[in-house]
Amino acid sequence: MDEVLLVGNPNAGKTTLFNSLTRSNEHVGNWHGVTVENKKKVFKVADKEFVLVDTPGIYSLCPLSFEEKVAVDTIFERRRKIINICDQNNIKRNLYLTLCLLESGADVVLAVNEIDKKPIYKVDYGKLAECLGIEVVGINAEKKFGTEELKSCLLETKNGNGSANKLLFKESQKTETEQNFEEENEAQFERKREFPKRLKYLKNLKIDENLLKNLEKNEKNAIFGDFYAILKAYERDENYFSRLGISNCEKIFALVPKDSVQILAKLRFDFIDEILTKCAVRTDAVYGKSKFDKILLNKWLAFPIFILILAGIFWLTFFSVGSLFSDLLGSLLETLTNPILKLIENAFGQSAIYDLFNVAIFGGVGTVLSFLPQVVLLFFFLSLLEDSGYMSRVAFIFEDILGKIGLSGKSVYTLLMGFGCSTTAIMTSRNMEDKNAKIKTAILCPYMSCSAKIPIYTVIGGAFFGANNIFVIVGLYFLGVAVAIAISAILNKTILKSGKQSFILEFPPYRMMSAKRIGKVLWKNVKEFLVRVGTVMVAMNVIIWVLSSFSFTFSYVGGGAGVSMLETIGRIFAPIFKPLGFGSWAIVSSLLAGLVAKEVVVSSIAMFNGIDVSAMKLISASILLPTSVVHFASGASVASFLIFCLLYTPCIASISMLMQEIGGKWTLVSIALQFFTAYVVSFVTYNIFLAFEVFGFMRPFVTLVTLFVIAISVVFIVKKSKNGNLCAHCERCQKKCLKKKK
Amino acid sequence: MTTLNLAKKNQRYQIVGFVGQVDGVLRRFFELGFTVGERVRVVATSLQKKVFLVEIRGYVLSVRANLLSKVQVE
Repeated sequence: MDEVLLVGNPNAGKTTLFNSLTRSNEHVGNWHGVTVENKKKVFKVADKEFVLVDTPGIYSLCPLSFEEKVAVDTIFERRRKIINICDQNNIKRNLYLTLCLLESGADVVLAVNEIDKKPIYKVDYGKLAECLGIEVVGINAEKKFGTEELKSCLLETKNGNGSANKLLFKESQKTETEQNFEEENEAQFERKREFPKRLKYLKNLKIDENLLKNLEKNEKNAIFGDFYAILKAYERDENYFSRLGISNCEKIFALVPKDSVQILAKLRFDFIDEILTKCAVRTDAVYGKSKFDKILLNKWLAFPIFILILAGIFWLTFFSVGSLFSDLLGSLLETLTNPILKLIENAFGQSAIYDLFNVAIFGGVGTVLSFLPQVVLLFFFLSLLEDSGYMSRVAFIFEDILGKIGLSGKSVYTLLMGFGCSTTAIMTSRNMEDKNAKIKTAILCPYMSCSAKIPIYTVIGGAFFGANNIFVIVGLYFLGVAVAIAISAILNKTILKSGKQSFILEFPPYRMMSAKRIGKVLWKNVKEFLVRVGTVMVAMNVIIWVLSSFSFTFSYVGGGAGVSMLETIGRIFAPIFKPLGFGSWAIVSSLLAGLVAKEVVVSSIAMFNGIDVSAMKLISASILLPTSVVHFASGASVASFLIFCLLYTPCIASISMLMQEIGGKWTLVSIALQFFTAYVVSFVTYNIFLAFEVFGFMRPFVTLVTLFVIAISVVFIVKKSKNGNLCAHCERCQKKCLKKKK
Repeated sequence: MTTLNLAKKNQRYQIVGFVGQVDGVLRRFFELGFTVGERVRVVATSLQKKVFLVEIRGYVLSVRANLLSKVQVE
């Protein structure tokens, strides 16, 4: 089956086109670096099947980050058809990659994505096709406009090495300049008939004879042609030569001008300018520039606005719309499951089978299922942020702060994604160029409170904090962020030092999410949640039910008739958690079960307390009763438990993703660090809360304030003594201070 | 002549050269359209002026100020 690659700049619309052509629902967003790995799917054109490969965004064929290398390697792996997608609004910059692809002799069809109704560039596709010598199609990837024409182009283009590019050699299309250029270089390139003479902008390259001789020695150049090797020498692309097995690149690079990379880039951009004057009309608008940025990026308003947006999302998710739909779904589940339970009861009586359905499946899984609206809403709002183009602005706002702790503004994407799901968030850390910053970002992801923890906060927190639980939940989210910042600062000073980050990020224009896309996002998240609940949750709950209902001799011990397997295991670990205020075997067992998926913590608590779906709201009440299997003695232990759940070791899916992205060694560091952090922070919280409960408000408060002031003073004195009399702020200030001193 | 990290906000400059050896950052600058003779403008800066919002070739991108010190303008 023929493979077709989707190649383009970041945020050009590759995945949107991939979704349109293959009827998929892959993750898209209006920011740089959404796709970090290749995605493949079969699609049909007429009766012919193709495999469409969606690649991560690239700017050229010289990769800088890991995900760019994935895309470039895929392009170079085999000669395949390429759909190069360009954003019409930023075609000037996007065509740079098109030229790089054409130079490589690739079989390219150019798809110009007309995203907006009033584009910055109005392009004459016919003229552009003539100038470039390839098929050019205007499309709207989201609305599927032009996709049929694009498909037919795939059938028309021929297989083989740069067949589409051979349009470039049509004799009739040669201009006088090109003719002269050919004649000038005829002798030099006599044996290289594949030399793309129509790419006339390369005529100014002065090629050293020795460079040619040097490259001719390497037979592997034949794959792409000697001419391309010359270009790659000009680009000083070590990746390309290492792919050919040439390790000593410096010898080759010494034969090209020192500023060769710049020369080549300028030639390409000058050519783009030339063809765009012929093929396009430009408006005055600037891509990515908006009047809203005056407010959203304002020095004093940017942070408050960001916090307000987050607070709004949390409020809508947990306490207004989300809560309302959650209650409605709870009632619906109750209505649906009660008759089924009655049927089971009639058939089997109050037996172990009835217990399995009542407690494990309808009770445990049903509890989590009722949180569907809240989880889906959170994902929806995150998608809304992604699609709006605001995420790149957030990266800009946070670059100052994150730079100080060895992260990049790009880390904000990853960390914000962590509010949805840590597993997918860890994967997006790939788009970071600095290896240490990437490892740090991946390690920090699980500190962000993922959506799976929502049921824990709502059920357990709600029991003790009632209406004030909104502050507790928001507090937990901010605590996760604060702990992540502190951990990053410590890692940056110790084992994962990062220099100044190379933060270069394109600003996308602001866009509204279409109704169709809203529907797709909602459906995707509902489906994923239901699949997760229907598979992992049901399986885990059945396992926990078996472990908690049977003893090691496999006798049924439901209803406290004996000691279950889970109780035996839980009792071994329980003493470790006693200093945190929740040293009961049942709570420890639920935490252990939470390693599979965090939602299981709540469902297992519901199971232990014998709560079924019809009495879902009673879980909160049950954990306050001393007679319950799972109960919390005080607000201090609840606070400690919630913080432990926020910070402790992530779920198995996240751990496996960490292994994939940062390797086994750093994954172990991450797991150990998280457990240690969770333990310490929970211990401190428990004791502070306990002090408030025992001694009242004033004494612990005064003690805490005193300790805080002492700590700040010590830090200040240490910093001052390190810097002598110099200002501690920045190099410029230090220079000024030195001048004053003199 | 100055470097782009010291450029004034909303004032147009022209790129006249680049400082230092070609590394990943300079290569990315070239790919993004930072070439000699091209006009640039600093549109906004972050709170601590460590990140600049630069307009070039009809689009804007945010860049760390220390990286912009590699771009000479006048």
